[in-house]
Amino acid sequence: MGLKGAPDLRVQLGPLTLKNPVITASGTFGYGTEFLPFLDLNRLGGICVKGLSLKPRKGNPPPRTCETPAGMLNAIGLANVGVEEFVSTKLPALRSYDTAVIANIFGESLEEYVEVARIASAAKGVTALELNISCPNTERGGRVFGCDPDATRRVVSAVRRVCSVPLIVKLTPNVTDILTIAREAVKGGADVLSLVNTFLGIAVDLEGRRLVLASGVGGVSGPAIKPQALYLVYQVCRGLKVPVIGMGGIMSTNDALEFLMVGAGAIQVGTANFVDPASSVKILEGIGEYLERSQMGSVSELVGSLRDDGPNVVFST
Amino acid sequence: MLRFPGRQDPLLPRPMSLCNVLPGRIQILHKVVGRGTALLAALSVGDRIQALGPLGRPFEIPAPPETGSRAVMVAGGIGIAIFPFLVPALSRAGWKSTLLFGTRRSAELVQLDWFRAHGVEVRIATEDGSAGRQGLVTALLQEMLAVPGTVGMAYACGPQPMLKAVGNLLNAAAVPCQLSLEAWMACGIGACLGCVVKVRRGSDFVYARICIEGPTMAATEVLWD
Repeated sequence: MGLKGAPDLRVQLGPLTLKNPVITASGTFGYGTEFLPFLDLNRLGGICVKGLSLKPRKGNPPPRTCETPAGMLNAIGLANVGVEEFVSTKLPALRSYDTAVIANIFGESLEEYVEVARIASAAKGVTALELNISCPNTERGGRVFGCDPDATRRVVSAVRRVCSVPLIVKLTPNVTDILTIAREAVKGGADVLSLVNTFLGIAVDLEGRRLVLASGVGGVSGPAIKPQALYLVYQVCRGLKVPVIGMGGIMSTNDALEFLMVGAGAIQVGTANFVDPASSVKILEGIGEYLERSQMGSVSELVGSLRDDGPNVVFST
Repeated sequence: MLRFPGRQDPLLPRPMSLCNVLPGRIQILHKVVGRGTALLAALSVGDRIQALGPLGRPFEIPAPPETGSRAVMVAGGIGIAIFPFLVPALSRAGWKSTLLFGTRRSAELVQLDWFRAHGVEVRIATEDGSAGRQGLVTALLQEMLAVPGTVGMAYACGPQPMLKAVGNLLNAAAVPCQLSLEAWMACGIGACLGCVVKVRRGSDFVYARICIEGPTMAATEVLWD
């Protein structure tokens, strides 16, 4: 920043340095260029691109989205151009911007995760990898990696071996105890944890007497999930010593501040981008203004500054 | 995309087409079908709303052929809403236009005088027979297609079964037809990948985003299930 008196917005998450704590969430920002008419990409701390798989995926048949109370449901089906197409056609434009490009990746088997990770982490311009473990392991009966502590540790450590850039592991909230999963991700070699991904949900079409989404189940996001997401971030920040990126229902500056205050070192803005494409930059500006008003010199003064004398609400097995 | 500032529920902006543009104002014509459109209907003069646009690809208007064949607008129900904005553009390009407008009942036949006042030939069908020809708007189209060379170009907007039927008729007659599609949409700017439709790609298909790769698409491209 350099201006006398202006707060320092830089954040350090383990080995990952970001120029500010605002990142756009995977699946809500395309490959960045869709938002050029609405904001200056150079202002963002980072962009998590749409999740990349080994081969291109068409995604699910429509209907893929619907609105839910103060939120939405999505079952896009992880549609993407594939990691190789991303590296050759999308990444060159993205890396010309002064923002961290975070490659969100996934696979349907351990081998696929490793192969995608190898390609993505070696690509010029990729600052970090974000590992989406909310995917079913098609080789093991479709059980979601991130719902199983052992599978979590195995996929993270397999990816760790081939990943030369900072490794973020994105956790699913659809688990009994997120601390157990978080611990295994750290044991597997995660540098940073990002949480949470969407909550599973459905919507019913009364007239047609069927589920609204063609694929049935989808992920819920938006303001409706903020209290749940915030609690899960709070639990991981209190229970473990790993850097955390918080997300889930962040629509405004105040929402972002709450996640930072409970211990997230950075935040992701997702569904808000659909409601107002300039959300991420507005939230960034709001964080800066808050730090100035509160006479805090840096984001780190805010992170984890929730008072210690409240009730202990971390229940873990 | 229209949204109510400060509201988190309903959360998402609503995609609306321009009905007409006048000096200093934009007109939008809509039906009340859910919570978002109910809120729109409840607005009063002086209330504030946020609008993001214009978005998406507009209709293409080729030069009319020498043969005198007409541009035909096929509207089903509230699909009529997009056509006032198209009429002056068709006329500037030199087309003579016909509007084929089908609704369930005569009460839904809006804007007829406007179209006639702007030189558009108007033909009507109502499902209950309360005005015009009893039946579907596709019957009106079939009548025109029965005389080859009458229809030079077609534009259609309305419920999906209507678009499918109209598209099939015009594809079979080898008459170029552009459809105005709609879908459940979250962002309207190509980011969420929610609003897709199957589109022909060689012998395979891709999912195209109606918001930015449409909403207008050639009837020959769309693959209906």
